[in-house]
Amino acid sequence: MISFRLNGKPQDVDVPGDTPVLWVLRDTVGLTGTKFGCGIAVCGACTVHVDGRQRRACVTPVSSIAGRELTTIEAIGDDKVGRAVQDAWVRHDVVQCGYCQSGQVMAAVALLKANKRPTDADIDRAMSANLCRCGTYARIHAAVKDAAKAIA
Amino acid sequence: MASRTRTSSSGLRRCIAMSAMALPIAAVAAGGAGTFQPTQVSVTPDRSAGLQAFAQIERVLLHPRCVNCHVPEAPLQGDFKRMHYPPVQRGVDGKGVAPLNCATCHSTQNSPLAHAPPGLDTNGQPGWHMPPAKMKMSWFGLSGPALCKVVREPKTNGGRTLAMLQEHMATDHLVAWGWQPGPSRELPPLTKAAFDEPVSMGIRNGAPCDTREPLRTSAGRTRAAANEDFLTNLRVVAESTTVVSGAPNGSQP
Repeated sequence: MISFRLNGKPQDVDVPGDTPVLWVLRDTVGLTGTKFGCGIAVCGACTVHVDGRQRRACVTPVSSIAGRELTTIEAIGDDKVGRAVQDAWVRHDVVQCGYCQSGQVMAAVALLKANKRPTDADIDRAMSANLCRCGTYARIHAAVKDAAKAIA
Repeated sequence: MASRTRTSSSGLRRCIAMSAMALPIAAVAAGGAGTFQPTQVSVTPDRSAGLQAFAQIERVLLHPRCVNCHVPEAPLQGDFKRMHYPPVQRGVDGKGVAPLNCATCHSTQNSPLAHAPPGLDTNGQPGWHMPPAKMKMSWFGLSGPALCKVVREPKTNGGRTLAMLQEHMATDHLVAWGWQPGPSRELPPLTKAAFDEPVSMGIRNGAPCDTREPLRTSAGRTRAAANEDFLTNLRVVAESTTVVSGAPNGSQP
């Protein structure tokens, strides 16, 4: 049994320790907001936060998050920064197909928690680790800037 | 999706099983954790033998498995020393700058799949890192006597004595990773055991370097020279891109 906190609540899962967090979330716990994209930590669709730092859930063994705080897209709107990012996403109508967007939002929140006043270059650098096949990058960039203003 | 779930999960389990089988081999090569015995410097060192030993060591140090992170600033990646994707930074502790830390993508184990960022387990947590900002240990762009000096001298090698340097090369688990880099990554030109031997031989013979060589505390002759070396490398990579991208087993991070 592996225990951790999931979105602020205690969570126990009875799975092998090397099971990727992504599969634990989607198959064991039933939280499907975190997406499978590339499966090799390159696209960012599976981004979650572990103790506030972003991690690629597809390559993160669940044993490595024992005793830690795991936050997913389902709860990211529970705090000020997450809510500001979600609001900006809606204002800028960022989403096209939407598949990558939970990862994009998680990455944007991680950026704004680390850097409340990111420059354009900071945004480009941080968000470049999350791929969007619809090419919504310009709207993502604008929404991150807008969210930064909202929490300033 | 369900099929991929099972495939990926079982693949990771296979990877762990393979790592577990490889561990005893690594332990033997390293002399066993906790049993490391540094080589004593001979009272009659053979300078020529020491220099020859470094020539062998250098072949490994300049291999992408090592030099990709022993760089002036941001890390490189892959067998062709390409710029790292995403554009991460070193950070004070060598573990990146939030929100893009090494641990964001580098987990606790190598993926069994090609092109995935490699992993490293440090006490159950992601341990991937490069040298810290206060001691970059950059040897990108250096070779021969200049590299020898930078690696040997505590001022530029992380404050290590010869014994500490040998212990690092023989037992550090990130160094050992270079010989277990996961799929689609080229191995260094020597085996781990064949690397440990010239390290020991070099130290036995006083780890000599060309005494005429000045100690370079930045990579290259100057920072500007290091930057120029870096740009030159990028140009070489860019010119070879069509060939590289066509390679069937070209690796990523």
